[in-house]
Amino acid sequence: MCDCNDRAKARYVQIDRATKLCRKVIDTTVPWYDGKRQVWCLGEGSGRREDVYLDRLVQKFAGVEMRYRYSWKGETVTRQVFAEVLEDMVSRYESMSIVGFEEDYNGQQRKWLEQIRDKMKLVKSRKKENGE
Amino acid sequence: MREDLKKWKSWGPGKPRKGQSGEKVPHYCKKANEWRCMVSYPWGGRNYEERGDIEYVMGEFARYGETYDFNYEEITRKDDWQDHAHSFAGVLCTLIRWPEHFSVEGFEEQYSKQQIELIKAVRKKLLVMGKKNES
Repeated sequence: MCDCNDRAKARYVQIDRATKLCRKVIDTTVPWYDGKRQVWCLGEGSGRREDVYLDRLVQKFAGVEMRYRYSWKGETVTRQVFAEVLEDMVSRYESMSIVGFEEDYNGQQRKWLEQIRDKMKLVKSRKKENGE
Repeated sequence: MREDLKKWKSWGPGKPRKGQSGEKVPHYCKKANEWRCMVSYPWGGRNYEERGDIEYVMGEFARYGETYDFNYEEITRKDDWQDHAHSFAGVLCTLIRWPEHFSVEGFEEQYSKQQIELIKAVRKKLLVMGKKNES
């Protein structure tokens, strides 16, 4: 029993050392992933920035701002990350349009948004038919 | 039935949970911090649940996704053997790690203008930082 505890303690010390070593090795001046908190980070201490999306953090890092615009119910909505446009698609797919803002997207993204819209409509219409 | 097959059948694809038999629109599960969606096999059969980030789940839902080709090692560029990612974040992830030989030359049509500009700016900054660190 005692031997088992000693081994567990020794293992814990090894892991603790390895974790500390990893922290030293990570270059925090470029975006890095915090696996424990599941966020991307830039910098350390009080100046540390965190974001779920690497795209946005990299934009801050490089000082370049991307924009993904779309019109929705007469207003223009601007997002910095394409994933956010996808998130918006879930609830706004019917009245969302990227007409006039095609330059913000690449060909694959434009096609993808169309496919998602079509699939959304199909699934919703099936639900209506089934009375769900 | 053999025990190992029983086990596989219990968690394998095609096993719908109670109340999840129909195809569904993607939704966010706050507790698990992930997106989820019930999708059907293109060749019929039972539905199954996909889980992950929004780009992956939307790709499975619409049966379409992005592919970005790029080169990041000198050897792959010489041999005309490129790597790829299925999200722009995947491209950026590789760029951060190996900026020296990273290039999207020859695959520009897969990227938008602003994406190419960002890649150039990030690469430039990383290389400058690398030079500073070396000196």
